[in-house]
Amino acid sequence: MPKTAMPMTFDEFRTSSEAVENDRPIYVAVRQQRRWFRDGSSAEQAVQSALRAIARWVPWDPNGATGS
Amino acid sequence: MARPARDAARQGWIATKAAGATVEHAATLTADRARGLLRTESDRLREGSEPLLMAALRARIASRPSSVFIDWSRDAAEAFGDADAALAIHPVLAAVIEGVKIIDDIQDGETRCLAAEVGIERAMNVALAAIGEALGRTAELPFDDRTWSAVAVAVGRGIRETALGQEMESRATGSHESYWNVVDHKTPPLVATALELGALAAGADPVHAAALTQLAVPLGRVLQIGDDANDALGDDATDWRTPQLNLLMLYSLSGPNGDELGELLRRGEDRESLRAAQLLMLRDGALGYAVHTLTTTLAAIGATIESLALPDPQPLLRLLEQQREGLERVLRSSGVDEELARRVAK
Repeated sequence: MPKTAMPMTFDEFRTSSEAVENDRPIYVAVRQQRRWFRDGSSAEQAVQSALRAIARWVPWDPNGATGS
Repeated sequence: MARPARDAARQGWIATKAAGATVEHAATLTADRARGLLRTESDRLREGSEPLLMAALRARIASRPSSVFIDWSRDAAEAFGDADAALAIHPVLAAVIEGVKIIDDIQDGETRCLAAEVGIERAMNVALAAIGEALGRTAELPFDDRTWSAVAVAVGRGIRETALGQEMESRATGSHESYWNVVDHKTPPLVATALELGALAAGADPVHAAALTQLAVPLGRVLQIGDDANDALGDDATDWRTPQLNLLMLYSLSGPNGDELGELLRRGEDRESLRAAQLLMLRDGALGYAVHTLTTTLAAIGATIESLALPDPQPLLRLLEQQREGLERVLRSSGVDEELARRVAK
Protein backbone atom coordinates (compact mmCIF):
# COMPACT_ATOMS: atom_id res chain seq x y z
CA MET A 1 0.00 0.00 0.00
CA PRO A 2 1.57 3.38 -0.94
CA LYS A 3 2.67 5.50 2.04
CA THR A 4 0.60 8.45 3.22
CA ALA A 5 2.16 11.01 5.57
CA MET A 6 1.67 10.27 9.28
CA PRO A 7 -0.68 12.73 11.06
CA MET A 8 0.67 15.04 13.76
CA THR A 9 1.12 13.36 17.15
CA PHE A 10 -1.35 14.06 19.96
CA ASP A 11 1.17 16.17 21.92
CA GLU A 12 2.26 18.19 18.89
CA PHE A 13 -1.37 18.97 18.09
CA ARG A 14 -2.24 19.80 21.69
CA THR A 15 0.70 22.18 21.99
CA SER A 16 0.03 23.85 18.63
CA SER A 17 -3.71 24.29 19.19
CA GLU A 18 -3.24 25.75 22.67
CA ALA A 19 -0.78 28.42 21.52
CA VAL A 20 -3.04 31.47 21.12
CA GLU A 21 -0.60 33.15 18.72
CA ASN A 22 -0.98 30.22 16.31
CA ASP A 23 -3.55 31.52 13.85
CA ARG A 24 -3.80 28.64 11.38
CA PRO A 25 -7.54 28.11 10.79
CA ILE A 26 -7.60 24.59 12.26
CA TYR A 27 -6.09 25.78 15.56
CA VAL A 28 -8.40 28.80 15.82
CA ALA A 29 -11.35 26.46 15.12
CA VAL A 30 -10.25 24.02 17.82
CA ARG A 31 -9.98 26.85 20.36
CA GLN A 32 -13.49 28.04 19.40
CA GLN A 33 -14.80 24.47 19.78
CA ARG A 34 -13.23 23.94 23.18
CA ARG A 35 -14.55 27.27 24.50
CA TRP A 36 -18.04 26.39 23.25
CA PHE A 37 -18.04 22.98 24.93
CA ARG A 38 -16.68 24.48 28.14
CA ASP A 39 -19.46 27.05 28.45
CA GLY A 40 -21.43 25.47 31.28
CA SER A 41 -24.77 27.10 30.39
CA SER A 42 -24.86 25.68 26.89
CA ALA A 43 -22.78 22.54 27.35
CA GLU A 44 -25.56 19.95 27.09
CA GLN A 45 -27.21 21.74 24.19
CA ALA A 46 -23.81 22.08 22.53
CA VAL A 47 -23.06 18.42 22.89
CA GLN A 48 -26.46 17.42 21.48
CA SER A 49 -26.01 19.67 18.49
CA ALA A 50 -22.51 18.38 17.77
CA LEU A 51 -23.54 14.76 18.16
CA ARG A 52 -26.38 15.14 15.68
CA ALA A 53 -23.96 16.64 13.18
CA ILE A 54 -21.41 13.90 13.76
CA ALA A 55 -24.06 11.23 13.18
CA ARG A 56 -24.74 12.82 9.78
CA TRP A 57 -21.04 13.31 9.08
CA VAL A 58 -20.42 9.70 8.17
CA PRO A 59 -22.42 9.05 5.01
CA TRP A 60 -22.48 5.29 5.49
CA ASP A 61 -23.51 2.84 8.14
CA PRO A 62 -20.82 3.55 10.75
CA ASN A 63 -20.31 -0.05 11.76
CA GLY A 64 -21.41 -1.66 8.54
CA ALA A 65 -18.68 -0.30 6.34
CA THR A 66 -15.67 -1.80 7.98
CA GLY A 67 -17.25 -3.66 10.83
CA SER A 68 -14.86 -1.85 13.12
CA MET B 1 -13.17 -10.57 24.22
CA ALA B 2 -13.83 -14.17 25.36
CA ARG B 3 -11.06 -16.63 24.57
CA PRO B 4 -13.11 -18.99 22.33
CA ALA B 5 -14.17 -16.01 20.18
CA ARG B 6 -10.59 -14.72 19.99
CA ASP B 7 -9.27 -18.15 19.01
CA ALA B 8 -12.03 -18.63 16.44
CA ALA B 9 -11.34 -15.21 14.90
CA ARG B 10 -7.62 -15.99 14.75
CA GLN B 11 -8.33 -19.27 12.96
CA GLY B 12 -10.71 -17.43 10.64
CA TRP B 13 -8.07 -14.88 9.63
CA ILE B 14 -5.51 -17.66 9.04
CA ALA B 15 -7.93 -19.49 6.73
CA THR B 16 -8.82 -16.21 4.99
CA LYS B 17 -5.16 -15.33 4.45
CA ALA B 18 -4.54 -18.75 2.93
CA ALA B 19 -7.52 -18.36 0.57
CA GLY B 20 -6.26 -14.94 -0.55
CA ALA B 21 -2.76 -16.30 -1.15
CA THR B 22 -4.19 -19.15 -3.22
CA VAL B 23 -5.99 -16.66 -5.47
CA GLU B 24 -2.83 -14.58 -5.89
CA HIS B 25 -0.90 -17.73 -6.80
CA ALA B 26 -3.64 -18.83 -9.21
CA ALA B 27 -3.39 -15.50 -11.03
CA THR B 28 0.18 -16.38 -12.05
CA LEU B 29 -1.10 -19.41 -14.00
CA THR B 30 -2.83 -19.38 -17.36
CA ALA B 31 -6.34 -17.93 -17.02
CA ASP B 32 -8.01 -21.32 -17.68
CA ARG B 33 -5.99 -23.13 -15.03
CA ALA B 34 -6.43 -20.21 -12.62
CA ARG B 35 -10.21 -20.24 -13.00
CA GLY B 36 -10.19 -24.00 -12.35
CA LEU B 37 -8.12 -23.56 -9.20
CA LEU B 38 -10.46 -20.85 -7.91
CA ARG B 39 -13.50 -23.10 -8.48
CA THR B 40 -11.83 -25.93 -6.53
CA GLU B 41 -10.83 -23.62 -3.66
CA SER B 42 -14.32 -22.11 -3.68
CA ASP B 43 -15.93 -25.56 -3.30
CA ARG B 44 -13.55 -26.45 -0.46
CA LEU B 45 -14.35 -23.27 1.47
CA ARG B 46 -18.09 -23.77 1.05
CA GLU B 47 -18.23 -27.43 2.05
CA GLY B 48 -18.72 -26.77 5.79
CA SER B 49 -21.68 -24.43 5.37
CA GLU B 50 -25.29 -25.45 6.00
CA PRO B 51 -27.73 -25.14 3.06
CA LEU B 52 -30.10 -22.76 4.83
CA LEU B 53 -27.36 -20.42 6.03
CA MET B 54 -25.76 -20.61 2.59
CA ALA B 55 -29.05 -19.64 0.96
CA ALA B 56 -29.38 -16.69 3.34
CA LEU B 57 -25.82 -15.62 2.51
CA ARG B 58 -26.52 -15.78 -1.24
CA ALA B 59 -29.73 -13.79 -0.82
CA ARG B 60 -27.82 -11.12 1.07
CA ILE B 61 -25.11 -10.92 -1.58
CA ALA B 62 -27.77 -10.71 -4.32
CA SER B 63 -29.53 -7.87 -2.50
CA ARG B 64 -26.39 -5.74 -2.97
CA PRO B 65 -26.13 -4.49 0.60
CA SER B 66 -25.36 -0.82 0.97
CA SER B 67 -21.65 -0.41 1.45
CA VAL B 68 -19.12 2.29 0.89
CA PHE B 69 -16.89 -0.23 -0.89
CA ILE B 70 -19.64 -0.88 -3.43
CA ASP B 71 -20.18 2.89 -3.85
CA TRP B 72 -16.48 3.55 -4.36
CA SER B 73 -16.11 0.74 -6.92
CA ARG B 74 -18.93 2.40 -8.86
CA ASP B 75 -17.15 5.78 -8.62
CA ALA B 76 -13.95 4.15 -9.93
CA ALA B 77 -15.85 2.59 -12.85
CA GLU B 78 -17.46 5.95 -13.62
CA ALA B 79 -14.03 7.60 -13.59
CA PHE B 80 -13.20 5.29 -16.53
CA GLY B 81 -16.43 6.05 -18.34
CA ASP B 82 -18.90 3.30 -17.35
CA ALA B 83 -20.41 3.38 -13.84
CA ASP B 84 -22.77 0.47 -14.53
CA ALA B 85 -19.88 -1.82 -15.47
CA ALA B 86 -19.17 -2.10 -11.74
CA LEU B 87 -22.37 -4.13 -11.35
CA ALA B 88 -20.47 -7.16 -12.66
CA ILE B 89 -18.01 -7.16 -9.77
CA HIS B 90 -20.39 -6.12 -6.97
CA PRO B 91 -21.31 -9.72 -6.00
CA VAL B 92 -17.60 -10.51 -5.57
CA LEU B 93 -17.08 -7.47 -3.35
CA ALA B 94 -20.29 -8.11 -1.42
CA ALA B 95 -19.23 -11.71 -0.69
CA VAL B 96 -15.79 -10.65 0.57
CA ILE B 97 -17.34 -7.93 2.75
CA GLU B 98 -19.80 -10.45 4.25
CA GLY B 99 -17.03 -12.90 5.11
CA VAL B 100 -14.76 -10.26 6.63
CA LYS B 101 -17.58 -8.70 8.64
CA ILE B 102 -18.65 -12.02 10.19
CA ILE B 103 -15.11 -12.77 11.43
CA ASP B 104 -14.55 -9.16 12.54
CA ASP B 105 -17.78 -9.23 14.57
CA ILE B 106 -16.60 -12.44 16.27
CA GLN B 107 -13.24 -10.81 17.02
CA ASP B 108 -14.93 -7.69 18.43
CA GLY B 109 -17.41 -9.71 20.54
CA GLU B 110 -20.36 -7.89 18.94
CA THR B 111 -23.65 -8.69 20.64
CA ARG B 112 -25.72 -8.18 17.48
CA CYS B 113 -24.19 -10.30 14.74
CA LEU B 114 -24.49 -13.64 12.98
CA ALA B 115 -22.30 -15.44 15.54
CA ALA B 116 -24.58 -14.23 18.34
CA GLU B 117 -27.57 -15.70 16.47
CA VAL B 118 -26.25 -19.06 15.29
CA GLY B 119 -23.08 -19.64 17.33
CA ILE B 120 -19.43 -18.99 16.57
CA GLU B 121 -18.65 -22.23 14.76
CA ARG B 122 -21.59 -22.08 12.37
CA ALA B 123 -21.00 -18.37 11.72
CA MET B 124 -17.35 -19.08 10.94
CA ASN B 125 -18.41 -21.69 8.39
CA VAL B 126 -20.60 -19.05 6.75
CA ALA B 127 -17.71 -16.58 6.76
CA LEU B 128 -15.44 -19.03 4.95
CA ALA B 129 -18.28 -19.93 2.59
CA ALA B 130 -18.64 -16.21 1.80
CA ILE B 131 -14.95 -16.02 0.89
CA GLY B 132 -15.48 -19.20 -1.18
CA GLU B 133 -18.46 -17.55 -2.87
CA ALA B 134 -16.25 -14.56 -3.75
CA LEU B 135 -13.68 -16.89 -5.32
CA GLY B 136 -16.32 -18.84 -7.25
CA ARG B 137 -17.85 -15.64 -8.61
CA THR B 138 -14.41 -14.28 -9.51
CA ALA B 139 -13.78 -17.43 -11.56
CA GLU B 140 -16.92 -16.74 -13.61
CA LEU B 141 -16.25 -13.07 -14.42
CA PRO B 142 -16.46 -12.59 -18.21
CA PHE B 143 -13.32 -10.52 -18.74
CA ASP B 144 -10.47 -11.05 -21.19
CA ASP B 145 -7.54 -13.00 -19.75
CA ARG B 146 -5.34 -9.99 -18.95
CA THR B 147 -8.12 -8.10 -17.18
CA TRP B 148 -9.33 -11.24 -15.43
CA SER B 149 -5.83 -11.99 -14.05
CA ALA B 150 -5.59 -8.41 -12.72
CA VAL B 151 -9.02 -8.83 -11.09
CA ALA B 152 -7.96 -12.11 -9.48
CA VAL B 153 -4.76 -10.57 -8.08
CA ALA B 154 -6.75 -7.63 -6.65
CA VAL B 155 -9.30 -9.96 -5.04
CA GLY B 156 -6.64 -12.28 -3.59
CA ARG B 157 -4.50 -9.44 -2.29
CA GLY B 158 -7.51 -7.68 -0.78
CA ILE B 159 -8.57 -10.82 1.09
CA ARG B 160 -5.07 -11.72 2.31
CA GLU B 161 -4.02 -8.20 3.37
CA THR B 162 -7.34 -7.53 5.13
CA ALA B 163 -6.79 -10.66 7.23
CA LEU B 164 -3.25 -9.49 8.04
CA GLY B 165 -4.53 -6.04 9.07
CA GLN B 166 -7.22 -7.56 11.26
CA GLU B 167 -4.63 -9.72 13.01
CA MET B 168 -2.59 -6.56 13.58
CA GLU B 169 -5.58 -4.95 15.31
CA SER B 170 -5.65 -7.69 17.94
CA ARG B 171 -2.05 -6.70 18.86
CA ALA B 172 -2.66 -2.91 19.03
CA THR B 173 -0.75 -1.26 21.88
CA GLY B 174 -2.64 2.04 22.16
CA SER B 175 0.22 4.25 20.98
CA HIS B 176 -0.20 6.91 18.27
CA GLU B 177 2.04 4.90 15.95
CA SER B 178 0.25 1.61 16.62
CA TYR B 179 -3.15 3.24 15.99
CA TRP B 180 -2.21 4.56 12.54
CA ASN B 181 -0.37 1.37 11.67
CA VAL B 182 -3.54 -0.66 12.29
CA VAL B 183 -5.73 1.86 10.44
CA ASP B 184 -3.42 1.85 7.42
CA HIS B 185 -3.44 -1.95 7.19
CA LYS B 186 -6.97 -2.96 8.17
CA THR B 187 -9.39 -1.22 5.79
CA PRO B 188 -7.26 0.04 2.86
CA PRO B 189 -6.74 -3.42 1.27
CA LEU B 190 -10.48 -3.78 0.60
CA VAL B 191 -10.74 -0.14 -0.51
CA ALA B 192 -7.92 -0.85 -2.98
CA THR B 193 -9.71 -3.95 -4.26
CA ALA B 194 -12.99 -2.06 -4.67
CA LEU B 195 -11.37 0.77 -6.63
CA GLU B 196 -9.27 -1.52 -8.80
CA LEU B 197 -12.15 -3.87 -9.59
CA GLY B 198 -14.44 -0.98 -10.50
CA ALA B 199 -11.85 0.48 -12.87
CA LEU B 200 -11.04 -2.90 -14.46
CA ALA B 201 -14.73 -3.68 -14.96
CA ALA B 202 -15.07 -0.38 -16.84
CA GLY B 203 -12.26 -1.40 -19.19
CA ALA B 204 -9.34 0.48 -17.63
CA ASP B 205 -5.88 -0.78 -18.49
CA PRO B 206 -4.62 -2.83 -15.49
CA VAL B 207 -1.75 -0.37 -14.95
CA HIS B 208 -4.15 2.59 -14.72
CA ALA B 209 -6.55 0.62 -12.53
CA ALA B 210 -3.72 -0.30 -10.14
CA ALA B 211 -2.76 3.39 -9.83
CA LEU B 212 -6.13 4.05 -8.14
CA THR B 213 -4.94 2.05 -5.14
CA GLN B 214 -2.93 5.15 -4.14
CA LEU B 215 -6.24 6.41 -2.78
CA ALA B 216 -6.77 3.36 -0.56
CA VAL B 217 -4.83 4.45 2.54
CA PRO B 218 -6.28 7.99 2.75
CA LEU B 219 -9.81 6.73 2.02
CA GLY B 220 -9.35 4.03 4.66
CA ARG B 221 -8.34 6.76 7.12
CA VAL B 222 -11.42 8.82 6.25
CA LEU B 223 -13.61 5.80 7.02
CA GLN B 224 -11.90 5.10 10.29
CA ILE B 225 -11.86 8.70 11.55
CA GLY B 226 -15.62 8.97 10.92
CA ASP B 227 -16.28 5.61 12.56
CA ASP B 228 -14.21 6.61 15.58
CA ALA B 229 -16.02 9.94 16.00
CA ASN B 230 -19.33 8.06 16.03
CA ASP B 231 -18.08 5.28 18.27
CA ALA B 232 -16.68 7.78 20.78
CA LEU B 233 -19.36 10.46 20.75
CA GLY B 234 -22.48 8.91 19.23
CA ASP B 235 -25.54 7.81 21.15
CA ASP B 236 -24.65 4.16 20.60
CA ALA B 237 -20.96 4.66 21.38
CA THR B 238 -19.32 1.31 21.95
CA ASP B 239 -15.58 1.93 21.80
CA TRP B 240 -15.28 2.60 25.55
CA ARG B 241 -14.66 -1.17 25.72
CA THR B 242 -11.60 -0.87 23.45
CA PRO B 243 -10.30 2.71 23.83
CA GLN B 244 -6.87 1.69 22.49
CA LEU B 245 -8.54 1.39 19.05
CA ASN B 246 -10.36 4.74 19.07
CA LEU B 247 -8.64 7.92 17.87
CA LEU B 248 -10.59 10.41 20.00
CA MET B 249 -10.27 8.32 23.15
CA LEU B 250 -6.56 7.81 22.60
CA TYR B 251 -6.10 11.56 22.13
CA SER B 252 -7.76 12.44 25.42
CA LEU B 253 -6.26 9.50 27.32
CA SER B 254 -2.80 10.83 26.40
CA GLY B 255 -3.60 14.32 27.75
CA PRO B 256 -3.85 16.01 31.14
CA ASN B 257 -7.31 14.54 31.83
CA GLY B 258 -6.37 11.02 30.78
CA ASP B 259 -6.77 9.44 34.23
CA GLU B 260 -10.23 10.91 34.71
CA LEU B 261 -11.31 9.77 31.24
CA GLY B 262 -9.89 6.27 31.84
CA GLU B 263 -11.98 5.98 34.98
CA LEU B 264 -15.15 7.17 33.21
CA LEU B 265 -14.59 4.76 30.30
CA ARG B 266 -14.14 1.84 32.69
CA ARG B 267 -17.69 2.64 33.85
CA GLY B 268 -18.86 3.15 30.23
CA GLU B 269 -21.81 0.81 30.63
CA ASP B 270 -23.33 3.43 32.91
CA ARG B 271 -24.92 6.04 30.63
CA GLU B 272 -24.07 9.01 32.86
CA SER B 273 -20.42 8.05 33.01
CA LEU B 274 -20.31 7.65 29.23
CA ARG B 275 -21.94 11.07 28.78
CA ALA B 276 -19.36 12.62 31.13
CA ALA B 277 -16.59 10.91 29.16
CA GLN B 278 -17.97 12.31 25.90
CA LEU B 279 -18.13 15.84 27.28
CA LEU B 280 -14.59 15.52 28.60
CA MET B 281 -13.31 14.45 25.17
CA LEU B 282 -15.12 17.35 23.46
CA ARG B 283 -13.75 19.91 25.97
CA ASP B 284 -10.31 18.39 25.63
CA GLY B 285 -10.19 18.98 21.84
CA ALA B 286 -10.46 15.33 20.75
CA LEU B 287 -12.98 16.23 18.06
CA GLY B 288 -10.60 18.98 16.93
CA TYR B 289 -7.80 16.44 16.54
CA ALA B 290 -10.11 14.20 14.49
CA VAL B 291 -11.00 17.20 12.31
CA HIS B 292 -7.31 17.99 11.85
CA THR B 293 -6.49 14.43 10.74
CA LEU B 294 -9.48 14.44 8.41
CA THR B 295 -8.59 17.77 6.75
CA THR B 296 -5.00 16.65 6.10
CA THR B 297 -6.28 13.32 4.75
CA LEU B 298 -8.79 15.01 2.45
CA ALA B 299 -6.02 17.27 1.14
CA ALA B 300 -3.93 14.15 0.37
CA ILE B 301 -6.90 12.60 -1.46
CA GLY B 302 -7.39 15.76 -3.54
CA ALA B 303 -3.72 15.86 -4.53
CA THR B 304 -3.73 12.15 -5.42
CA ILE B 305 -6.86 12.43 -7.59
CA GLU B 306 -5.20 15.29 -9.47
CA SER B 307 -1.99 13.30 -9.99
CA LEU B 308 -3.85 10.29 -11.42
CA ALA B 309 -4.97 12.13 -14.59
CA LEU B 310 -8.16 10.06 -14.77
CA PRO B 311 -10.38 10.16 -17.88
CA ASP B 312 -13.10 11.64 -15.65
CA PRO B 313 -12.03 12.64 -12.13
CA GLN B 314 -15.50 14.09 -11.31
CA PRO B 315 -16.92 11.03 -9.45
CA LEU B 316 -13.97 10.96 -7.08
CA LEU B 317 -13.93 14.75 -6.69
CA ARG B 318 -17.64 14.54 -5.84
CA LEU B 319 -16.85 12.03 -3.11
CA LEU B 320 -14.22 14.42 -1.76
CA GLU B 321 -16.68 17.32 -1.80
CA GLN B 322 -19.28 15.30 0.13
CA GLN B 323 -16.72 14.67 2.83
CA ARG B 324 -15.80 18.36 3.00
CA GLU B 325 -19.45 19.40 3.27
CA GLY B 326 -20.00 16.90 6.10
CA LEU B 327 -16.94 18.20 7.89
CA GLU B 328 -18.07 21.80 7.53
CA ARG B 329 -21.46 20.87 9.05
CA VAL B 330 -19.75 19.25 12.03
CA LEU B 331 -17.59 22.33 12.59
CA ARG B 332 -20.56 24.73 12.35
CA SER B 333 -22.52 22.55 14.78
CA SER B 334 -19.72 22.52 17.31
CA GLY B 335 -19.21 26.22 17.90
CA VAL B 336 -16.99 27.19 14.96
CA ASP B 337 -18.12 30.29 13.08
CA GLU B 338 -19.37 29.83 9.54
CA GLU B 339 -16.52 31.49 7.63
CA LEU B 340 -13.85 29.69 9.64
CA ALA B 341 -15.65 26.32 9.27
CA ARG B 342 -15.60 26.81 5.50
CA ARG B 343 -11.89 27.67 5.46
CA VAL B 344 -10.96 24.66 7.60
CA ALA B 345 -13.03 22.22 5.53
CA LYS B 346 -11.71 23.41 2.13
